[in-house]
Amino acid sequence: MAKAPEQLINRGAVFNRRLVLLGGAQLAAFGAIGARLYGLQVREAETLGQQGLDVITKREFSLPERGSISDREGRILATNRKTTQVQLRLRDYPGAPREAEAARAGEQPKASLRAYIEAFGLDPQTELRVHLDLDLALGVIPSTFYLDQLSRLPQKLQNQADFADVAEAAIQEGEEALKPLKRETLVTVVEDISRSRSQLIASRQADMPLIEVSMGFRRRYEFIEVERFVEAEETGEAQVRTEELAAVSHIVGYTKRVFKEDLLDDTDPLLRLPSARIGATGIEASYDRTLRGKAGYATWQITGGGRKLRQLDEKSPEPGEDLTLTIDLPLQRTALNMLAQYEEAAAVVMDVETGEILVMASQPFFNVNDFVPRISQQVWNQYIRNERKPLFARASQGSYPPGSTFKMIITLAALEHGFTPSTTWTCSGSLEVSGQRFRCWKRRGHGDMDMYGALRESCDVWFYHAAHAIGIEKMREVAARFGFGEEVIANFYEQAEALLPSRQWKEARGERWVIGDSVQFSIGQGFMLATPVQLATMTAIIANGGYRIRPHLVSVNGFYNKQDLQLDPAHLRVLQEGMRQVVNDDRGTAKKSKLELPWGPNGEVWRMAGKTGTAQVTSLPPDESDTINEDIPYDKRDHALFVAYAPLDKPRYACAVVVEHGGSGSATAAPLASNLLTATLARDIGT
Amino acid sequence: MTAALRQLSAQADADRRKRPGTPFAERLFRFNWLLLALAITISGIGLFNQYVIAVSTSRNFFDQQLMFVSIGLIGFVLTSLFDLRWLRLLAPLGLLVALGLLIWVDQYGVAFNESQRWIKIGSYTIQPSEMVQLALVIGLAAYFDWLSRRLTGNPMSLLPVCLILGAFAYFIFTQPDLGTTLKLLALSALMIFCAGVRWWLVVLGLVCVAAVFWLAWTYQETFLQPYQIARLTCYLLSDAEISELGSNSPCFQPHQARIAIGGAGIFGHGAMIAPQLESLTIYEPYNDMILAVHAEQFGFIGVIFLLSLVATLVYFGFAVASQCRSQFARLIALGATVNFGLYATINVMMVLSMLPVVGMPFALMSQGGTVTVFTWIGLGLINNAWINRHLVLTPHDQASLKE
Repeated sequence: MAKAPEQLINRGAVFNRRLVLLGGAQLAAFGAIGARLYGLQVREAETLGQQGLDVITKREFSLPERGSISDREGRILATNRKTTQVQLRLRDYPGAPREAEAARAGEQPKASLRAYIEAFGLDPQTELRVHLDLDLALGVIPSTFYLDQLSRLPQKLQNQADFADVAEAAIQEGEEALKPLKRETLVTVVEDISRSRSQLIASRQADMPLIEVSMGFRRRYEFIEVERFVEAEETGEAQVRTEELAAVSHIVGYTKRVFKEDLLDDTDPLLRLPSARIGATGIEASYDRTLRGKAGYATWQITGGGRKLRQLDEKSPEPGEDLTLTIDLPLQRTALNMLAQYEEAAAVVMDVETGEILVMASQPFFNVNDFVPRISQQVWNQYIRNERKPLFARASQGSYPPGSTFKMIITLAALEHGFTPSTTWTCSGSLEVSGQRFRCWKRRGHGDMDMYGALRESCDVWFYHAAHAIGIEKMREVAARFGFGEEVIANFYEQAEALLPSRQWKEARGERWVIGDSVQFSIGQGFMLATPVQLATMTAIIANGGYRIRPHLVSVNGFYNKQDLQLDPAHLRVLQEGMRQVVNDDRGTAKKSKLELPWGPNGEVWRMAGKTGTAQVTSLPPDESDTINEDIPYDKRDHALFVAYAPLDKPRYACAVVVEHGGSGSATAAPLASNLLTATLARDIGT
Repeated sequence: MTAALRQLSAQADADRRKRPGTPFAERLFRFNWLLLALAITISGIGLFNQYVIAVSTSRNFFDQQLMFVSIGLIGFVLTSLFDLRWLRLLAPLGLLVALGLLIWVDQYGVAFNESQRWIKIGSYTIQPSEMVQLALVIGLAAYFDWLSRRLTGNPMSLLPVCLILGAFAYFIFTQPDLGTTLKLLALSALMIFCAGVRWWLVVLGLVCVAAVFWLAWTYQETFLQPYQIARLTCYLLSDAEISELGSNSPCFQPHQARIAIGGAGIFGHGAMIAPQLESLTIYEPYNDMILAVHAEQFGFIGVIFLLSLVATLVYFGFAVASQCRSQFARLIALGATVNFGLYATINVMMVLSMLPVVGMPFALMSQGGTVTVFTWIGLGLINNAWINRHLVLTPHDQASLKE
């Protein structure tokens, strides 16, 4: 093979030539990179920077102060106390799903959180709550580890209601909770921290970027003192104990922490604040949106580490509106003190012209301050297990057979049906209607009774006759006009519709309406149920000349809702005269509770009109219904009812009193109503 | 074995007598201090960024990386002082060891993220594919040095190279590690190119590469994994669409990097201030995406400065290669330089969304033990070539010099 010299390569020269090409290629690459950098960091810098901001702007919401609640004279019923709380800011970042995964598998304890908890020296109970909150926030089912810990905690600690709630909610969430994570979650570690402690934390804030100290509010409800008779545990002797109780617990209600259910149909960012509270019952719940105010906010450009770079905008929180109730606090206290001698009772006093509720008292009642900040399981159990149900707002939620207090409705139905005041039936102590015998409460019978007499002496047989003649449809229609069977109080959750039965209602239950049902209905028994507020409303309509007023608890500043029922004034006069005779006639059932107050502007005497009612609770033989109930077991005794209005000539207040198992209306309820109306009238003349 | 070593030693002795090497004491004084200063500066910037990451997030690799850089520096010095002639003689052994390691990884390696690339030694893991690349550089350099000048142009002389490359590429590709495979092939191709392969072969090679890419793209369902296709088609998506896809999309990380880099503007947010880093939108900032951290703090100016240092280092390497008298020295200088340059160039282009996402660290900047140590050893090779640039190792070199 010939070795041609041109085939020999000068390797150094070739290398260098090709190296120049390579260097050129590298130069081109660097040039392209430079151009790309120029494009990104100079030309597109603004748009990309803006996109970066989107990722890391944060809106911090701040809690407004909840509106206060005061009574009609401006006496504070519910207000707030400022607190300092410590929150742990848990950030979610793209790596979080992985950590959540690990936590779910029970592998990796949340190391950073652990460090914080140790630094704070939190008690195990708080620590556990933080863990559970965290699990909820991250959408992780509490790992068996935490639940195991929970079960090992002493009973006393477990009894934290809030705690149990969280645990339960977390478990219920289950698989469904594994949703996309929220960006950031605040977990409240300590709700009400001492001043020195908060200053310590503030001074070390820089070391603890995840900790936030913020202002919060805690609800405070005003107290009253109530004297109650309690039986000493050892001796069984009755003794007087003074208890501090909130007078308006049932009306004002209380607040609770926000749960997931509350967020379903409410997108208010305020509710997502860790220390947010939402009304749970009463006015707090019914007027929650008014009271809660609007959350303020500040939008920050922040670094992912949570360091604030600059503030973009700000809006201060709008405090909730203050509410003025129509309740009169001293009068409410008086009413509660009057009722305190009974086990279970309710009283309502209403302005007949405006529908303002001045008193709405339920006995027994509870101390709403037990719910601040949250009720302990122990106290809660005491309330729940109490047979008298102290949490139950009897005045608006209690459904009772109205008994004879319902007879005004039947009387009006009779008048509208064509009967006159002189319509007379003979009471022989009982009446047989289609084969069934219905007794009058007076076994000897009332003899001949006209309409006034029937009301005055509460003759059942007269109403049996009337009911038989009128029929259920007419009677029911009249009752419906007076607000029976509906929620009468404007915008208030804690009330019942009670029950205004009808033929259709009973047939829907698969039974037939029989004449006996109508007969029972005419004396407010059988299926008929009414709340004390409904009874007071009925009385007010009779007293004010036939205007359907709207009972309300929150002052409407003169915008009263008043509807003329177009009743015949003559008919109303019959009812009013009947009710007058109940109290002021010597034959009246409530003659012992006569009211004679010489307080009129020109010295005229203020009197009261009313109607007694005694409602059977069990189907004890009717002939026992007017005996004194002492020998019967408590829960089989009759309910005592009384409705009244005063003053007689120029009615101003209507009142309804129900004493559960209190015996007869004339003996128990009527004196209460009389005293309550006296106190109400006394308030007006300033004595 | 003993006989082979004795023979090797005898040949080395003969060589030394014929063509003396650089005296050991002299090698220290001939260090390319500028090269070292440049590399230390880049490494320092890398360490600073690791420090910023450690402060801003909970990912602390600073101490570890400092240790790796220290080991790398020792490696640099040792490699620099190593006798170039011995290096040439040991090159085949290096190739054998590399192949052995690759087979070992294939059989007993440790897998992370479904990729079996590591050998576990105690609590540390090393990635042999880094070492393989340097072994290949030395091996190819020795081979092309050994080839007679006439045979250099002969296509048949490339056959053994292709066999070795094929074996290496096969084992790395099946780890699987597509990025390193391609880088290995590119590195080898550039060395072969500069060694003086004929132009028509270069053109043929380029045509083949184009054909392979075209085939892979046309029959993507057959050749590419779905995630690879997704990575390749990121450029089709707008920013809004990427945001919509969320963090599981392979396009999300480059998008976040663009935001971080672009948002920094010309001057950056300032040292130690990296909002996107702190917001943890970049998953592993200490690794491939470290340029974003640097860019966030120092902006366009800072990135250009850093890349200027990198470019200077690369051109220093090229300059060293062109100064060498021996083919072996110039090829190892070239190979080590290209190795470093490819890391930096591919990584930066990837971070800037100019290339699809492949796992490619920014050598000297990114966290990673094996990469750091072997990059320093590679720089040691460049330094070694510089120290021994006047050496003439073979008759071919002598002949070239005379012409």
